[in-house]
Amino acid sequence: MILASVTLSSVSKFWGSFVAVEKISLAMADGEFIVLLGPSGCGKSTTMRMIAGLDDPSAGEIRIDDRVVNDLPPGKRDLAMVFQNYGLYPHMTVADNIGYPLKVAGVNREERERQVRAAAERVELGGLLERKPGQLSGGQRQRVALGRAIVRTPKLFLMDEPLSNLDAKLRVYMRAELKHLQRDLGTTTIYVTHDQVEAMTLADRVAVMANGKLQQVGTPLDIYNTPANVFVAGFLGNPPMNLLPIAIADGRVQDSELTLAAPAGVNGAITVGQRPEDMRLSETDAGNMAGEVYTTELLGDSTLVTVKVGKNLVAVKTDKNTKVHMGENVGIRFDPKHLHFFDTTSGTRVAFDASR
Amino acid sequence: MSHRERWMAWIFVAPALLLVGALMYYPMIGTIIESLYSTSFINPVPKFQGLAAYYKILADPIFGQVVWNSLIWTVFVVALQNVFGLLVALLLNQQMPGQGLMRSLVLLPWVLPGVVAAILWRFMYDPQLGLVNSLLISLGLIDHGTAWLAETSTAMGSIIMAAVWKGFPFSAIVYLAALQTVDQEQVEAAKIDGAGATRRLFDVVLPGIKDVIAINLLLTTILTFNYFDIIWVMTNGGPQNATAIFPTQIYELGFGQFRFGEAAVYGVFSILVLALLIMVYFGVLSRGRHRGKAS
Repeated sequence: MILASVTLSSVSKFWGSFVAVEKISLAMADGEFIVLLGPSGCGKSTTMRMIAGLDDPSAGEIRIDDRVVNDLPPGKRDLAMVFQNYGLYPHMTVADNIGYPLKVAGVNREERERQVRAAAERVELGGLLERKPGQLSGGQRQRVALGRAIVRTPKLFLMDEPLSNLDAKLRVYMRAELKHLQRDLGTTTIYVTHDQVEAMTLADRVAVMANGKLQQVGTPLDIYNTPANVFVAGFLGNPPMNLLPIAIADGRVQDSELTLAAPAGVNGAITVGQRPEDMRLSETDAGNMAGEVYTTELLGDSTLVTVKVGKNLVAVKTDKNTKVHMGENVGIRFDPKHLHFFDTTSGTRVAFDASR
Repeated sequence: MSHRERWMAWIFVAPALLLVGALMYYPMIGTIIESLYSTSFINPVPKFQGLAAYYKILADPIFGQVVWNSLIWTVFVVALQNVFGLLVALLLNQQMPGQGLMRSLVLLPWVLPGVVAAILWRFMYDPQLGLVNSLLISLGLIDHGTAWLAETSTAMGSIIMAAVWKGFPFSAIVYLAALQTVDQEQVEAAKIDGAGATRRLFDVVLPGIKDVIAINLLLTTILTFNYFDIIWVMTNGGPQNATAIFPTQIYELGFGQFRFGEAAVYGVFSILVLALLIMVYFGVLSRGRHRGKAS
């Protein structure tokens, strides 16, 4: 199998004075599925476009395997890309679309037809080879784009929000297909999305970006369980982690609404975080804090109870049979094993001794 | 539609129908009738003569020459104007400094009045003072000045040049607008697939604007076939009818020689040619619309 590793060393992109991507360094291993995750405008697409060669980095170095590719045109980088709107050629048939990279590479007609058929089988398009893209559904167009990407067995796949134009049901199905296809081919894949569920389900490793900067890189579980900063904590999870600003001085929490044993060695303006599923409702006087139920939402497998504590809204994921009413007073209990502490000023995670 | 609604519909359409009828169909039908009568300056009372004028004109070698001239004129002006327009559009579509200024400058020949442009070119082609001659002599391509507009062999080529210069900005602007609608994702996909600039142009960009190309070709064909001012000012259709095309011949016969019947015959033939072109135009237009629906 032909695989590629990709290395970014302090890669930046400026548009005039606007910094789209700032000093990103990231190493992607052979055969890895890596997802660039972040809100729109965070620089994830620009990063991918620089790897593709569609945009030139303003500074830094991009390597594919051991070769610096900064000045190599996209067609010479041995990679394939799936675009958000698929980028299909509307005047060509499905077969011609899939076969186009081979035609450009000068592969003869017979060989081309054989490879196109094989790629089309793989993405289950066998019967549609003579259709034009305009006659296909969104899911089928997506498959054509995938077929065109796999037909020349590139070293690297780039996917720019490939599922965002599909309806919800098809998206879940294609997500599973994509993962299966990537494992099957073993091709190194870089995938850009703003959808955390796609990131969690597809990735070997997730690179979370915001404001042009890399926030955290790690396995989905790492990122979910130990977010490196307030941004990552608040971006992942549905609903995201509850974040409450507190002050700790002399080993004690200086906050009237929250009773909590301060962790050793943590002081100053701190943001304490806990995921909704780690919290429990309790009697008003038996929890770490108390408040009035703001709203309850039945999600099917659970109930989401939002409680107003002081000025903050705190989400608690409870059993689906929980019976609380809006306006009722409830207590909230933390799970001490799953508490997160962040420095409020810098936003970064504060290490502490959890064994206490 | 109920009876009442149908009446309302006719009432609403009536003003437009009357206008089109009075301004377009009345003169057109008038021309056809005129072509069946003999009218001239010395014989101002129209006299019915049937198809006599048609026989006369079809037997006249000048008719053949006018048809041939019109063909050469239309084909070359349209082809050169579209190719040149497309090239300029491709150039203007690039990211470059001074792009806005370039776009306005390119439009200049098109916004000049036709007569002004014609006089400008007549000066340039002047055998003694013209820029064209002095340029060619200084380049060593010719050794003495040529009277470009007075020689039967060079007159047509010379006015074609002038018309292309005058008309290419129109095509350039149309193509520039079309190029800006080409889906960048497709272009980028082709880049990733390894296609170089020329390949991308022929495989992605031109197919993407081919409906616009078809319509612009037809529009410029109709406009060019009907061209009058530049030719009339530069050559009067001469020398020896070398640059006479339908519009100049109609004008010459009608208002130069007051042979209205024969001028009308030329008019009828040019109506036929234009009707054919317009039918093709609407054919292309509706085909484009069907394709638009399918995707």
